Amino acid sequence: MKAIKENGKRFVNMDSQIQITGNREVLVDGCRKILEYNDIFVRVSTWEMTVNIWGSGLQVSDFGSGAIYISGKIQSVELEKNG
Amino acid sequence: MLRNIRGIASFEASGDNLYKFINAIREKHIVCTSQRCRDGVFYAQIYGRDISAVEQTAEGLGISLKISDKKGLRFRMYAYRFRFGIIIGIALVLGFIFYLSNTVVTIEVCGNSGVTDRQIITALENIGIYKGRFIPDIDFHSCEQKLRLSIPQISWTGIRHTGSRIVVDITEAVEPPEMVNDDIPCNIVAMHDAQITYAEVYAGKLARKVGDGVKKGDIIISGTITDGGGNIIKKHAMGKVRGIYKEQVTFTQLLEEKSQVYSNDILTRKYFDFFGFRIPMFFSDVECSTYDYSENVTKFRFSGLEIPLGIVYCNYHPFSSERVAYTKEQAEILLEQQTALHEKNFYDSKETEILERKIEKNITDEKIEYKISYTLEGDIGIDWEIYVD
Repeated sequence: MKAIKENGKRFVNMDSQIQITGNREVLVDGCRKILEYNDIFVRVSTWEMTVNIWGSGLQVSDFGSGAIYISGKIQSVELEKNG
Repeated sequence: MLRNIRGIASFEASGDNLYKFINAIREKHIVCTSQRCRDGVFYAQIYGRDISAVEQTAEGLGISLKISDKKGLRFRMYAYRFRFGIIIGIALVLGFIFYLSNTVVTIEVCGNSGVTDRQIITALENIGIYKGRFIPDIDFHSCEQKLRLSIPQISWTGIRHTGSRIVVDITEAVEPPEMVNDDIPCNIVAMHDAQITYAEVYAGKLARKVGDGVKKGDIIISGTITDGGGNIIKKHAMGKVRGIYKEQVTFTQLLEEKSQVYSNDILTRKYFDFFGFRIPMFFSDVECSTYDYSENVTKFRFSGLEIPLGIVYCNYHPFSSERVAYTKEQAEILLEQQTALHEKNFYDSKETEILERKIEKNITDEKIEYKISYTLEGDIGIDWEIYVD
């Protein structure tokens, strides 16, 4: 059942996508909620995981497309499986 | 650029449900950029159109919202919304641009040499192309045909417009060379009583030799030839015959006559030429019934290019018809002018040489008369058709 769900998501391209550009920008596509947010840490939730981004001078831009751009000096990106 | 036109508002939000507020903005798909969170205060930028939606969201969640900055044309223009002068000015400018892009401002004529620009522009005015005419109303194809018909010297015309400029391309008709009907039998006869000084025969038979005297109407080169077999052939005689002959011309100048007397003052009226329209720059019209009229236009220039603005100078030279009395000296000067004009028109232009000029003056109280006897050397031959049944 789990495999079918995973394959289905992949088929309709519902998987979250994370794109890191150098150490200055992270694009999180498929972002559900922003859980925590300050200058050095942004925590966002996607459908299947939580993404923790550490850095300094972090800023978020949202263009209303379901994706958010986190810019600043990125130090690390951590992925946590939900549940 | 686009962001500046749309207007960007910066805001600061704080309160207990700050994350709910941030996520609510996301759920409403509001474009929100430059988001920062520091010390429990959320800073971000949104488009001007989303301000009310963000305010409503903040109010619903008990968030304290402060619009800290507004940038862009949208907000700048909002402050001027009751400045009706600006709105009217913009409307006028737009109207002016529309007018200039749809009406004839300048007419350019290219490719003409024999027909003058003035003739073509006058013909264009008659067929409906003139400065100020609404361009979409002009049927260019029909106007091309009408222009060709109205000026016979034109063989082809092309009328096009680039913006408000009408360009008229002209190709003039090439005049056919003068046809010599060399198949019509004719003689060359003398048109004056003369003595032949030169004869050159191209076709026919010389009937008189150089040095002979001829009477008016005598055959000089005959078109009737007898061939070796005794047959009479009629052909077109051609040749050049010059001779010395006499001619008498009389010129008369009255000592008192009705003539145009020009005033010393030339009146000038100025118009401001504004895209082809003439705006008067004077208050009173010219008060004279008869005058010679001329005008010249001084166009303004910008960076070396002529612009459709300028000053039109209209010059009126008034005259009146009055009886003028001449002294005998003045009358003689006028007669000499008449004589010179006659010689230029009738002798110089026809390569006729004046060998002798005898002037017999006849002066009365009313007039002076010049009876001039010329001795001339020039063409004396003229084609004279031979009528054959």
